[in-house]
Amino acid sequence: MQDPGKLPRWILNSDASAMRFRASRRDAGMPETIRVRPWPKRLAVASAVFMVALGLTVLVGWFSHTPALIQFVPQLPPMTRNAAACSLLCGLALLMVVFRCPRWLTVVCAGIVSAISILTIVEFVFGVNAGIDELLGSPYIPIRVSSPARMAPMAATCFALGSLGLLLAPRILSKRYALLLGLNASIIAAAGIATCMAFALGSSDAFGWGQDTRASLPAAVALLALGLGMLALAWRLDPEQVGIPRWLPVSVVIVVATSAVGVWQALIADGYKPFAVVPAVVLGGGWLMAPIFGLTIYQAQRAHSQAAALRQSEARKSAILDSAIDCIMTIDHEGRITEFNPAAERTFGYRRHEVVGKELADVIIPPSLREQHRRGLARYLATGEARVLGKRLEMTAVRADGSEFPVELAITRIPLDGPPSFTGYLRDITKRKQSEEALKRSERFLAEAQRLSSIGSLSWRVATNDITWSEQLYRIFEFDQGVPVTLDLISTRVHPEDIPLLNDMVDKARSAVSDFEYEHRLVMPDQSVKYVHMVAHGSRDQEGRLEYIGAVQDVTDRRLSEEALSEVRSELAHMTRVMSLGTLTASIAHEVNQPLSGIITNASTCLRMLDAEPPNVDGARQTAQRTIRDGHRASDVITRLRALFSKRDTTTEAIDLNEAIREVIALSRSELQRSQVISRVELADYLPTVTGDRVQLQQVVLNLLLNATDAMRGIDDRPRQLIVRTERDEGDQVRLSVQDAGVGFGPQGVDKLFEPFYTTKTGGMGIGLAVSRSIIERHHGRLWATPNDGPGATFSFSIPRGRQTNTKAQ
Amino acid sequence: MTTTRSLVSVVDDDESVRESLPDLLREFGFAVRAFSSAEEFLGSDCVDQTKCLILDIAMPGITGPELQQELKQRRQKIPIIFITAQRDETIRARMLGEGATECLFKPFSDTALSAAVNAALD
Repeated sequence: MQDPGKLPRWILNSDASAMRFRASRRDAGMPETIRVRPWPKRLAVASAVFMVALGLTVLVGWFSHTPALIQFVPQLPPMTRNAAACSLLCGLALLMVVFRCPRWLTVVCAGIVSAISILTIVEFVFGVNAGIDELLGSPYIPIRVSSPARMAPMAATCFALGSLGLLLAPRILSKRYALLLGLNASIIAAAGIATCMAFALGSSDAFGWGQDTRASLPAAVALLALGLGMLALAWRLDPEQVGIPRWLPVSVVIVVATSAVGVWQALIADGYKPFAVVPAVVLGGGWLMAPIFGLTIYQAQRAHSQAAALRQSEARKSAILDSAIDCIMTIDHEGRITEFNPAAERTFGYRRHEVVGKELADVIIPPSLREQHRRGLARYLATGEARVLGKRLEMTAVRADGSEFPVELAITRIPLDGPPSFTGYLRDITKRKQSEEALKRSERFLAEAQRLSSIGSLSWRVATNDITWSEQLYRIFEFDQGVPVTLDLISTRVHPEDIPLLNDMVDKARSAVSDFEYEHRLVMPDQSVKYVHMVAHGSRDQEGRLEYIGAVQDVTDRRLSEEALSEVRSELAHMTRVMSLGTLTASIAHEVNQPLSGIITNASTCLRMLDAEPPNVDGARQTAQRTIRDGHRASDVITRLRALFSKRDTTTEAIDLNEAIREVIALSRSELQRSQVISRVELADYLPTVTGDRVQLQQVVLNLLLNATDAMRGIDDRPRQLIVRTERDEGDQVRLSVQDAGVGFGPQGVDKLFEPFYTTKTGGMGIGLAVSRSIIERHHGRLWATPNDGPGATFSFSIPRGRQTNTKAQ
Repeated sequence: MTTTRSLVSVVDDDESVRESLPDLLREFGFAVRAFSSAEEFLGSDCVDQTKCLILDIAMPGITGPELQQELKQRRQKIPIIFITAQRDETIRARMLGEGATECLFKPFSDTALSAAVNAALD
């Protein structure tokens, strides 16, 4: 059932004065408001008022002994009191139904009529007197019938039918009951018409057509009014009253046939023989006309309902066209526009009336494509060969202002007889095209960015092992674009030494959602090695499936640069070490000469002991042992020197910083003494190990010691005290400080101290501190200088502790 | 070579020197005392008896030359043989200029040592 607001416009736009009809249909369960024509109600009201007036007039005539009010025409039979009462009550009941008065009022009025009329019929049928005839008084007008007070049988029958119909009327809301009411009313009206016609034909004896069909003229008029009133009611109650009631053809047949019978009877009563020419023509013609009338009305009814259905269909189609988001337009076989919906109006900037009748090609197709369109239409009409029908096409269309825009178009042929016509469904896809273009652009941008940065991206659905790679990733791995990627395929490129790393990564990724970062090598078909750095982020989708999105960067160039840089740094570090070797020459000589001296002295002693008489064998053995010990000592010095000054690659190991410092101090002790430096070494107990390059860190320590010694070289007014201290620093760091009592540095000096080639020494190159700082920074630490409260400065470095256990200072 | 058992004192912070040198000197027939520092030597009762002092130049605390000056101030005329692992002729010249009997660079031969000590005792 439609909502009133969505009813087709042609229904809602009917006469403004139309009354509203509300009907709650059981099958719909919702109220319905339909405007209907006003005349059925008016006719029903008029009929009812007439019946009330007639009945009242006759009754007043009877009670006031005024025959003129009873008979109207003196020679005609009077209307009985009961018939008048029935007319009055039926009129009231009809009014009550029309105006929807409480139902019990209708039941009372119609019930009394039913009782009177049915009892009267019973009296006729069984030839009894139930005492009902003179209920309202005796007739005082002479009349040639057996029971002058009794209502005519025809009137009784019709009032019985009518009152029963009215009793039911308030319940009549469905087609079925409207049909019953209509037929019922037709019979009553037919009887009334027939009787009236008998009177109209001037029958000398109105009762001539049989005792059982007699009625007075007022009663006949009352019955006619009742019939018409109930017909109007039925018409109005018919839920499909927008058309012609279905029962109308039948009722017309009844009315016409009955009227013919009535006229035929009247003619016979007038003196014709029953089958003389005139009565026979009247009866035959009437009976012939009855079905013709009925059929005609039926045809009209059908045409009307088809027209209504067509209007509805049109309304629906119109509603669809009006509300469609897509442009819908139809063209005829000449390519002329026959329909152009509001969406098309909005899209193309034309009004419907401006374009209907014009050729579609001239309206919406850009000039360059018009000829093609015309040829296509002509080809289809000539050969039936369709290239575009039923397909989804993309083309360019043009608006009223001449601007062109992309559209998506589907054309279908309208399945009708006659010359072909077509419907086009068209959609403006400018925005979609723009998004597509933006997407393509974005993809190109991404691909280019990936190419420039040597970063490829990938996704990996763990459960299904679906791996998707970007173009750049194919380039990095040097696989053909689009080759299905599998873990096995990937492993063919991974450096054999890094395969365990790959397996480890895959295992971790499969076991749980995680983020990971790996760097490994690839071996290309030409045996060149690439370094790739991979970062991946794992997540679960809505179904809980694990997926990784990752980025892989070719870091070969960076790695090679880093290696080259590392080599240069290493060279530089070595160079500075060798330079400090010069400074330490005297110290080194001292360190070597000391055990050599012991060796020579012990060996001489040993020889002398053996040469003595008797030989002092025990003493000789002891001195020989000391010789060996000093030899080892000399060897240790050489080993330390080699470790510190030979050229070597950078290594990473756990280092006991205290131990490393002690070695450096041992090597430089002589230099410190020679420079009259008093050194104090305060090494922290349980200092955590650090991870790094032992020799490079020792180089830094040596550099700081030599710098401190140099800084105190000219100092004579105070002890040349040097403090070497290790301690734990905050944040799990290990700190070394070298404090001197030297010349210190001015405020402008501290910034420049660590710059390369900045020096205050006459013989220095100024790269020691710069190299030291670069070494410490490579160990993720920092190197800095602070002036002392007193004279001199303190140089410190701090580097993160390693993962090894603590070491105890000795 | 003399047969008198003159006392030779050795002052060196290096333990191996304090072990090896006295043994060799004893083989030469000297009485020997070894000290690890100048302070220890000055605090001992051997200063007056020492006929020859073998002295390391570079030592923590009082250095060899400082001890030499100290002894001069005390008017102790003990012949001094400096020994050093630092082969530096300028130091040697300075030490000899200051009155040292000899200045030996480590390592030195037993004959050089013997000659120096005997020269000091003459």
